[in-house]
Amino acid sequence: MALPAHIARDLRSALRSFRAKNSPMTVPTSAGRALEAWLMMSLARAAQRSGRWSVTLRQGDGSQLPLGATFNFPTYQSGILPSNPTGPSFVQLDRAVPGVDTLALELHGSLQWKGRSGATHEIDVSLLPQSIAQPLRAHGGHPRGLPIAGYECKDKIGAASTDEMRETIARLFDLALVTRPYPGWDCRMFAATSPHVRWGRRQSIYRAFFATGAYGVVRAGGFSRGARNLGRHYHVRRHEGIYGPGAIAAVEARFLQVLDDVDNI
Amino acid sequence: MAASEDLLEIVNILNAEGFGALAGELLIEVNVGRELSDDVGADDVTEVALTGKIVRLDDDRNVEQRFFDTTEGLDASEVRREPIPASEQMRFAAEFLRMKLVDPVRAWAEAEKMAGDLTIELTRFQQAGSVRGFRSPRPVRIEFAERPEEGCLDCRETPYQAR
Repeated sequence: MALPAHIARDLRSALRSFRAKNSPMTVPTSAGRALEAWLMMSLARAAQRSGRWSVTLRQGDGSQLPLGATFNFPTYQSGILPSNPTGPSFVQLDRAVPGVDTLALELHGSLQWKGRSGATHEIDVSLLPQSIAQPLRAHGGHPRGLPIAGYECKDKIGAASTDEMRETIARLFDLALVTRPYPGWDCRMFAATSPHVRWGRRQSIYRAFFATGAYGVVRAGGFSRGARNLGRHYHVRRHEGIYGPGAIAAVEARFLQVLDDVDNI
Repeated sequence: MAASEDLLEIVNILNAEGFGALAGELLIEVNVGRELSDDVGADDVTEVALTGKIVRLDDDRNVEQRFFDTTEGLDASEVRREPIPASEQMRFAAEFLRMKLVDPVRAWAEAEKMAGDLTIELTRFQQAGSVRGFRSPRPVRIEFAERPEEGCLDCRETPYQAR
């Protein structure tokens, strides 16, 4: 059946209006940056609302984002860049629980991590301690190891294939420091700076590593059966239909669980 | 896959208006189709088929045992699909356009509003005791970050022997 003329006309008009009014960031060819930004801010807001974390927006040099300034969301893959206020912005989470040790964490977008193989892996939204990120900002570099939380964002509407989940799990496998990076080092991540900095605990098997963080694939669409089974086995959560009612709440809930247990990671 | 006339017309409009990538993706999604209903929602099938053995994360042997206890005949990664039938392609296309165009714009606007709320929290936190009156939260503009000159990050890192 042919498309009714008035629907065709309205569609053309809507597309022209859409392109005129919206930044390139939200148009479909931009690889889902809108979803990444939304996820990052949703997690930040959830932490703020928990009352246990004080959340601030930061510029690329680590200073607070001034009122009226823009939040620079990275659109390129990179490790942590040398301190620069015009560099990628990030979100800082400071633990604000009386009687508990202070702790600063950073939520980054499109950050590249370096795996044991030497390959770099971009994680759309990832969480790491400031004790790892700050020394890297001095000269630039890649965090190594497994992030506290890591999410892959896909704005595809079809069901994710098993291969898509394999890609995510392969990244996590290369990042997990099951073998010690240096003799005697039991850590979850480290910064190859001078001097070296390390953080967190090592697990003896991969699945235990994955179980003690928040990892997930966040999708506009759903997941195939194979992707579901693979993800479930390796503790990679499947957050489907993310724009639907309540879907983001499940991501936030697991994120907050991990934040509450961050001292045991 | 037989594309319906109205679907092809939508594809042509998308292409003509500069949304060619979206047009291509729509055709692919219609062709790839959906999983057959028997396979959808099968997230827990393996769980049900297992014999209830306790899996301890510190012992991979139990994980292996869990694998071999799966009694299902169907390979877990085997997926049966069917293309979207012609009679449903128009509805599918409408849903596709909503998820690819409308939802991301809403998400982007909400992200900027949430960022604004966080900035206001920062201001109150910084000026505790000195804030007078109520400041309406303003969205923070989120923009693409241009790639600064950075050189080679690898060159700046101390050597690490991958293991």
